[in-house]
Amino acid sequence: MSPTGNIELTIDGNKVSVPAGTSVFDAARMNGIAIPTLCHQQNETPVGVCRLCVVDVGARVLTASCVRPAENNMVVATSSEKVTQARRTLLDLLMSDHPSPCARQQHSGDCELETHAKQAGIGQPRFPKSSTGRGKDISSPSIAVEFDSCILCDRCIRGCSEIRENFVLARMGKGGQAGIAFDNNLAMGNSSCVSCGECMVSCPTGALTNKGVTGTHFARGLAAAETVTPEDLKQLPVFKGVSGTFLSLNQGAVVKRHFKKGEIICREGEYGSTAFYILEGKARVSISSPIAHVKTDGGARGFLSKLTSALTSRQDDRREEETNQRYIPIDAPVDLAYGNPVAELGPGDLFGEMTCMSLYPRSATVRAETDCTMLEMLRNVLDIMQRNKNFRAQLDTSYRKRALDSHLRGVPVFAGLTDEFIGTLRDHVELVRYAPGQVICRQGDPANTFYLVRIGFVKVTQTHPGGEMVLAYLSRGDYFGETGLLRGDVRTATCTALDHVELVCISGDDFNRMISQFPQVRKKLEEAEEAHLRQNRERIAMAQNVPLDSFLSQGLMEAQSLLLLDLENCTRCDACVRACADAHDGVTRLVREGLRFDHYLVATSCRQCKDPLCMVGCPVGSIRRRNSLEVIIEDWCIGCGLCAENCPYGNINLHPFEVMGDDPDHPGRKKPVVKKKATSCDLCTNQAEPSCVYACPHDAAHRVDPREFFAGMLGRSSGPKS
Amino acid sequence: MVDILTGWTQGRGSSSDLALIDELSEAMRLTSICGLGQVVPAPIASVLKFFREEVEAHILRRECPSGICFSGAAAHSSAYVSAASLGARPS
Repeated sequence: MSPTGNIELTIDGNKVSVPAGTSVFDAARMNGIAIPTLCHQQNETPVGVCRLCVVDVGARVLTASCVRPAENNMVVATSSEKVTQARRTLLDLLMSDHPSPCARQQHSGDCELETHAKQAGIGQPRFPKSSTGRGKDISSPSIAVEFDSCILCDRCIRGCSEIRENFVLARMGKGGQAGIAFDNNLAMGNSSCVSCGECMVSCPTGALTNKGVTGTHFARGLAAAETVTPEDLKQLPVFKGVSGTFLSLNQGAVVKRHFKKGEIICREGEYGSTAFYILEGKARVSISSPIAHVKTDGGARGFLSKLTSALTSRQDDRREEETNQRYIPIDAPVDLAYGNPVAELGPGDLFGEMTCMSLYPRSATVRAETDCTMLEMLRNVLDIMQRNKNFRAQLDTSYRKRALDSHLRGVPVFAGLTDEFIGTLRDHVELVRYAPGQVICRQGDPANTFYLVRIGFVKVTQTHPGGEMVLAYLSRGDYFGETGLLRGDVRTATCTALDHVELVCISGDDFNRMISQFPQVRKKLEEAEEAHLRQNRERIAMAQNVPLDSFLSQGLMEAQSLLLLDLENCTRCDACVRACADAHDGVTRLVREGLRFDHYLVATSCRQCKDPLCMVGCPVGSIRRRNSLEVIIEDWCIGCGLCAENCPYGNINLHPFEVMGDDPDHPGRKKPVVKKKATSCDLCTNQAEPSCVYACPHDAAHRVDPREFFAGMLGRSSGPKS
Repeated sequence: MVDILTGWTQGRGSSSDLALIDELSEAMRLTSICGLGQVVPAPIASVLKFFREEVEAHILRRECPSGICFSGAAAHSSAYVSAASLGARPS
């Protein structure tokens, strides 16, 4: 060892000196000797799997220089005949399974494998090609996977896990079957991949490439997409400050579209993965589903004579505890008024953020009001834009100017605020983003901010001696943080972002000013808070009084009314299901399956879960619970079916109705179209008893108050009536 | 390697294969990460050393002195088993 503590070794006849711990590969590189490699990259931990960087250090076998630390007095040959011959064979083997020219070679001519093979003079591969192809995966919106080109260098895996810490990519299978896989071998598009592009940048071959983006995965059936160059984008003020390298890397992740007047840009309920930014022209946002809910009525001639389900609006059929919510929250900078769900968007407006970031269905239909030009972008671009201060500033301004009003007034509690006061708030509010899983405020923290949800879903939980309890899921238009502020105390619950959340933050001072200036707002807030607290107390008391864990975990104790099938009497004849279908225009809301408790089957009708998963994701916020915990679907349901999908018990169904709607082929004309509305078991409240109970020939179906019914079984009388 | 050896038992060998097998054996021996890979070529090296005539009969004259190869299922299974038992494919 030299006096400096350096390692001294000989590489290709040159004496070199490197710090201890340096790999042979780096030692050579630092001294101007390039060793070919495929699997090694400077920014990733070396793994030594491609074997191309092998060198001769005089041992029995060659050694991979990227993982071999330099040693004193080592004599390294990086390009002797023995070494180059071994490399040639390896390249020949790799090339024999490589679909040359691969996607990358075709596109940019820089496939690393093909470049090395060419340098080594590999012509037609001499080894037989593998007989079975390994396939493709084009499910991701931005990255194409060609497994045949994959050489299992693991660069993408390390990029995904080490650099980005996304941990989506991994190896799967063994021997000839080995390959890369997303999550537990999902299609890339269905995996938790965030399309950051790191794998694509890491890939030495054409196995992971940027999709020939245009038109393939953007919204289909739209006006032709026009590619936009990074230079074009940089001209736009909102792209000022966005890294040019990022834009050129993501070229194609933004397209420009021209829409003719009247053309539909996106339809409510459709799934998508893009957001739109309006450059020129105006667009009209509207909800084309009828603003109504499903009501089942009995005929005049008595029970089951003819039950029909029809759409009724809240004017005609006021349901218990129906709110006076005046605005329908949508995925755009404006809200829609309940009475006239139409709004206009203009240049500088961004819509589809929730769809793009969190993959929710589109919340409204957008139609070009005049000829207009828009940028349609994928999530990675929107994400970088959201972090760009120019863009954020513009969004903030536009929110303050146009949406704060309707947003605040949309909450019935704040309906009484004066224009003047909202005017003063305008300059004070702040829009803050939270990433999925991020805690917004913690139980016990001092309360200093009041929050309004603008985008996304927030979970409110409270910790109790018995564990954690989900109090609510909040979505656009909901507010939180008032309890602590009203009492001038600490936070009473923990609030966590479930997805990409954006909140309007109103400082404690502004909040206090508001409630002292508007005593009626204070009164309403206090009333609402009182009701929440009472409800929570009841639920918690209930949870702590009942010892039976399984009973609880099935959420049965919280139910006011359960449909039970006595399995000792039930012959599985399905008469109950048919009766339910008959009662609801052929759409059954009852599936004879579910959790069991003792010898009772708790059939699928809403079980009023502790953790109501159905409440998460509704793009228009039209699902909520009554104080009695019964699920209520608000009139502006767009029938996208996400709540039905989210309910783990299949208790929400979609009921189709034929209504007159716009004829897409003949603008201006109407034709019958099928619109869906979500429904869940209404317990046939208009009837003497539920149709399923009525129809059961074996007296096996019962609707009961669970606390009363199971009181004996639980060994105590906890029911209010017993 | 399995593909090449199986090819020999099914009449798909060519005279260049012997050199190719030598080259591949050498590369595997020298560059495999693990010890198993490094010794995969050993059994084949023995075959080539002690039964070279038999191998050449298969490749050059398409004959099987033992009367096992080139005959349908028997050929396939015996060759496959023997080839597979030598180890899986490189890399």
